[in-house]
Amino acid sequence: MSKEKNSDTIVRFSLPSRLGHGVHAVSFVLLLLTGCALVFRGFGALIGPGGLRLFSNIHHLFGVIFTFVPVIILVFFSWKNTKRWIYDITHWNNHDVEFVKAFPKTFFGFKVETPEQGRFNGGEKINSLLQIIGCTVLIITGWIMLIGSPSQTVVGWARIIHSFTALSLGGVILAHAFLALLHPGSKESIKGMLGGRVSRDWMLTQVYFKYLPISLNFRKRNCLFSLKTDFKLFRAILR
Amino acid sequence: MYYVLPVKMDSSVLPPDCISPIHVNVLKDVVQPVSKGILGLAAAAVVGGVVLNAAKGGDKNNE
Repeated sequence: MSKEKNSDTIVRFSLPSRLGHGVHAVSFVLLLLTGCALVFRGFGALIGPGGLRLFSNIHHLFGVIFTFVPVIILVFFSWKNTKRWIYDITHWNNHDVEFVKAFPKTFFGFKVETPEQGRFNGGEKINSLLQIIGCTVLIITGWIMLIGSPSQTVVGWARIIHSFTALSLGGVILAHAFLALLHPGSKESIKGMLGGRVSRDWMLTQVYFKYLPISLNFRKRNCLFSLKTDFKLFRAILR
Repeated sequence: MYYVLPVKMDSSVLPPDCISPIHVNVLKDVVQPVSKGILGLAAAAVVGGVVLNAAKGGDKNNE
């Protein structure tokens, strides 16, 4: 415990959370690439009929993985963390809104004062919500196309919604990958998703356990603050 | 199962009053260009972000 407190790094994500994220990320990128080849003529023409058949099979295989594996991991192996994540992303405050307003400037490297955030900042909350809603739409429309429907119109509209949602989410993923891998202010976060731990100093500049429910939910052995400190902080804020 | 739409269908084999379903036209003429645009905008924003962040050298971690 004391060793943990003295460490320069702190646990950000548990192993099941990282596994769920990893499977989701890899399968989404593969599905996006193979899906583009199936939908866009220019890309499809490049790989030819054999390549299209292969891409089609890969797309369907990873469609199954994309549908079930992350859900199984998050529900059966990490339900506590998943519940906390869902709680965090569905509870917004003024600080989240202020963060989102300032986000375009920080994205392009302009220095802006952003308010303290909870475990997830406003941008991460939007990304999470878009992923949950968008992926649900992709899964439903994807299965309609794969299984088929007596009405060709239903399949046709499913294809339209699937295509639009996939490419729009592709744009979100692109920005998300930039922030996680390259952006100077947030690239530390990829360490949390790969190894589970991030720098304690970086965490302190990014995350501030201002709100009691978040503090209490994050009160684990690897937490920055003890329960006592949480209450002290909360009382100081109330004053 | 192929999803690629033909560039130009051979209309000689089709009945004279053949019309393509609305959803095919919507996919081809609206959804694909718009979604390509969204993806392109996101890519442009990322390239802009990389360039501007590099130019500003605003590495908060090194401050």
